[in-house]
Amino acid sequence: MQNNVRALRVAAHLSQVELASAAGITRQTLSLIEKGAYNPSLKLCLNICYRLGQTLDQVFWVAPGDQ
Amino acid sequence: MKKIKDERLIIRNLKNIRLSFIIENGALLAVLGWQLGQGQAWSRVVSYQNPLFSIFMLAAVSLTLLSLNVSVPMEDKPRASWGQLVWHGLICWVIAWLFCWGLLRVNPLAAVGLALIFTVIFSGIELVANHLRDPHDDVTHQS
Repeated sequence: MQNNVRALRVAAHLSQVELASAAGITRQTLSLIEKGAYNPSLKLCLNICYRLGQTLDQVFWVAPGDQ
Repeated sequence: MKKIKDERLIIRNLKNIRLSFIIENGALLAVLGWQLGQGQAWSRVVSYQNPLFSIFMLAAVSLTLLSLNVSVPMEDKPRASWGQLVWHGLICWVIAWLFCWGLLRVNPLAAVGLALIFTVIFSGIELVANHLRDPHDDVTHQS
């Protein structure tokens, strides 16, 4: 599923390794999330949002029909 | 082995365990089939004296018991009362006794004991399944 993780991570000047380690996941998993190839659990979504200093809808909101 | 914290890898690991379980049991079945194909007696191969058969049955029984927490939510039946559980147990005991005495031609008194073993196993499974049933909470309007 598409999301804004990559854009917001770059805007926050964080590397994949830094964000992944802060969220408690591997860099490979973060890479898959950014590509939309892996759907994280709500707990992990929230963890990523906390680290990016964003809200859930800013990072993961997808309009109906855009999935 | 390091503790896995990444949720994707935890799921991946569980899928790997499932695959190895399928391979292991497939191999067990293949060896049991091979033993039968070699002309060994059915009663010798399909017997708890045969370690391969015992391991296969252990896996089958544990999988059946563990799958209760999948099948029970899928059924979504209301929780049974203690009275109903006792009633089910009694019915099971009578049917098992009739089966052992009538069909298996076991001594009537021994059939009572054998039926009791069936009933204890059946009631144990019923108790676990009943414990897993959630009381329905279908309240749609708050007063």
